[in-house]
Amino acid sequence: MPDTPFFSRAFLQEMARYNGFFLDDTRLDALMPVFERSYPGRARFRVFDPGDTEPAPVFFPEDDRA
Amino acid sequence: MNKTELAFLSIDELSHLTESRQISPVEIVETSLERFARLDGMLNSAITVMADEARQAARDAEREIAAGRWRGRLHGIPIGLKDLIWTRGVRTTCASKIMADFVPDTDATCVTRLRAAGAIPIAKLNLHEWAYGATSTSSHFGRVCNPWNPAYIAGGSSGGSAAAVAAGLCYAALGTDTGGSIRVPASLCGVVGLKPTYGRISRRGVAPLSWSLDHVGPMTRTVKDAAILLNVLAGPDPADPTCAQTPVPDYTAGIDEGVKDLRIGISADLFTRMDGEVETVTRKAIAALEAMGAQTESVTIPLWDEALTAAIVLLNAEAVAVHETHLKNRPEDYGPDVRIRLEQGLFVTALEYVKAQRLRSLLAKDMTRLFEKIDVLVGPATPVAALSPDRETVTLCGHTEDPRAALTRTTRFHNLLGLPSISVPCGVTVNGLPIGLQIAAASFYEATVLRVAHVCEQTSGWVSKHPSVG
Repeated sequence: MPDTPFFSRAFLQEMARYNGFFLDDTRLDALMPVFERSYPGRARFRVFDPGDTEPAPVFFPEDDRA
Repeated sequence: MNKTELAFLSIDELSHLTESRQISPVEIVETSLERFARLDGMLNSAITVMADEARQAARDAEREIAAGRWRGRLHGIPIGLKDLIWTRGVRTTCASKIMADFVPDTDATCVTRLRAAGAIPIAKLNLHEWAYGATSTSSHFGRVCNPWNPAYIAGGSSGGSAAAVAAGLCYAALGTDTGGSIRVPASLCGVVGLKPTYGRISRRGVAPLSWSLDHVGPMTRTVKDAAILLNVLAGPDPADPTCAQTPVPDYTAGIDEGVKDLRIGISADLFTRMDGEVETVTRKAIAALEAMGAQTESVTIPLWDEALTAAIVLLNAEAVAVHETHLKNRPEDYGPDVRIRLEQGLFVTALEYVKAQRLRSLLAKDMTRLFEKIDVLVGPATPVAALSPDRETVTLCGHTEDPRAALTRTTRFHNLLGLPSISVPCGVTVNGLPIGLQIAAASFYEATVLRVAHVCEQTSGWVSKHPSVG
């Protein structure tokens, strides 16, 4: 499986290692097609600009919590 | 009334019979247990049937009711639990090899509430492993089959809950929903599945998949039964900091008020890349709502595509965080599809995660404005009916995609924003497979969702339809 436009195999391997995981070639072979399929959405999302400072991140619908 | 008729009564109908002592909880529980024993070999909906405990609880309920202490509509009613909901002394497996022998020492809050209302937990129900999949084909305990045709999937991840309720093995079940895991199997199995507002029902004691997207909700054969369960399940829980303080109304109270003058929003985004037959049935159901007095108008959901990607980003990142230890130490003990989904989370960047949360904030404001113009947003619960389990792709309108992506395309948005939404059966395909209509509303407007769903249920005549499983 060749490298992809956004993620090279070596980069993914390093990123996994940085998170404390080791991915061998077999795992990368399994994972790369999944990345291929997710590229279009991820690419659009990467260029999406929600603004400079607002909105701030939010986790819950507006409401008082316990 | 024969045993099959008894098995398919609604909770609402059955509760009148228990209150008036025409039927004993012992008879009801024995009917359910007999159906699990006879039919579940075909469906594989249950991982653990709690026969001894259920029989004891039925005898206790019978004594209480005989003594004049009827607790309410759920008293003596057998209810199934998705097997990631903790039950004291009963194993809770998450359909995984890793948790196959885990026995919690406490009940989840939702189980405590059900028991206090007199409901009888009867089975721990099968699911897609760790609730991370929309098909229920990957489970350490085998795949769940669709009661309308066992050659098809039940949907997921709460597939066992949907199948057991549809087949009349129990009268209701609890499911969980992170991207559609209540509504997808409800749609594919022809039952009602309600994902309430984020925080409406406590999640304490429920194995998480994604903390900011997970919801617990009821799965039933009628809309009114879903309202009956929500009445018991909803409310604050000091043990769950994400649980809402918002007062809990009686969700059954306005359910018969109809849809006259209610404003229904229809978004083209929800009808993108659909199976033609599902679209026809869905639009017919919407036309029936119009005929009952509802007003429809076209609306636009802002940033639809970005929202779906944001939901996936959050899910991937949170899920791998939940599973970090097990994934490091026992990766080979995950199913292949679930392992790949978890590993994808390793490559979500902090920038993407925060951007997703900010998009969530932006969309929440936009949707609040939209719900000032409409009361509910209506569309298909799933773009396709049940698929065969060996399908690796699905092609809709010339676009080929992963079945999981297709099945959750119309549901995932409501998890991102925590909006209440329901799948209610509205018809069948020519092959006899159910089709669900999804109805969503602003946060904490479950009563409106239920009211519209109740009309849909009446106009489609669905309540009398059941799979012919025996």
